[in-house]
Amino acid sequence: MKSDLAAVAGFFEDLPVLVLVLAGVLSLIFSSVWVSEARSSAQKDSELTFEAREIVSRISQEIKFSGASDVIPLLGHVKSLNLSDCSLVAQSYDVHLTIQIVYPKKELVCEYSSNDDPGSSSTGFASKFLNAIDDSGLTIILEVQAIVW
Amino acid sequence: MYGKTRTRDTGQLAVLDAVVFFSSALVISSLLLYYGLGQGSPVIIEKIAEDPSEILAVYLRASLGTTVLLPGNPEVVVRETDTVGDCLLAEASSLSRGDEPIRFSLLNSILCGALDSVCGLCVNPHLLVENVSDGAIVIALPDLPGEAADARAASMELEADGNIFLFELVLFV
Repeated sequence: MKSDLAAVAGFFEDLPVLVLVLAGVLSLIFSSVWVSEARSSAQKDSELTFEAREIVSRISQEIKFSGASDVIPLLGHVKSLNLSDCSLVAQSYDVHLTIQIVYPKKELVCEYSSNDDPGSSSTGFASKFLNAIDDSGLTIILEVQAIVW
Repeated sequence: MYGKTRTRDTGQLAVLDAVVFFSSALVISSLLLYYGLGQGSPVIIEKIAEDPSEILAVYLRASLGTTVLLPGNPEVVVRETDTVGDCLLAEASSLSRGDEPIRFSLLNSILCGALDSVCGLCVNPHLLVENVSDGAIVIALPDLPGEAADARAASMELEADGNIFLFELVLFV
């Protein structure tokens, strides 16, 4: 009976120690996992951003090379671009591509989405500005945007 | 209660050790979160303004898109097909010759609108035109930029009437 009392008392005395040690260990594990996840997500975002830049660059080249390199492309040619063309779009990712006029008016020229469901928290984004000549002869500003996930 | 009195000293030592361990764990966790998450956070301006020189070149090549009548004597009509670069060069030349800045207020508001259209909502753009010969800022759209922690800039030189003008685009978050 005497030794039982000592054991019970010892157990309750050790509880705060146990709680503090467990809380410390949990905080270390939690922060490590959190940081690891965040770093992994940032790396994934970086890869996706690189892919988005590649796609935007390829589309821009496709637009620019419609004529001589020093000639501003026509808007009609840009409208006729097929963004879903496999040569332009990355196969291994879902993409949303838009080409829009940003000046002198806002207008969507064309867009393409390989998957309407954004099922990932990691995304990459890139955009590029280009000049083009519209039907009335004005030199407009186009923006090519790519979102990759 | 016999056990409690017998183990009080060692128990207090154990609690003290645990508190030290817990404090150390909290400090290490905080450092991990601060350095681990701080370095991985994206910078907005890097995503938006990857290449300000590209934005500047495209902006200067674009047409004005609106016909503007510049008041004064003589009145000057700026056509919608005139490029932004030509408009800014003509304005800079006129101002260098001593023309009144008020004459170009309507043109400047259109040029500011065009700049905002290109740069978007998250970036605060400033376009400066400097006369290279005397270093004077001839045009500042919408105004002179203040100080900012994160900014990007690009410049380009153009010539008009024998004067060389430096176009500088400064982008702030």
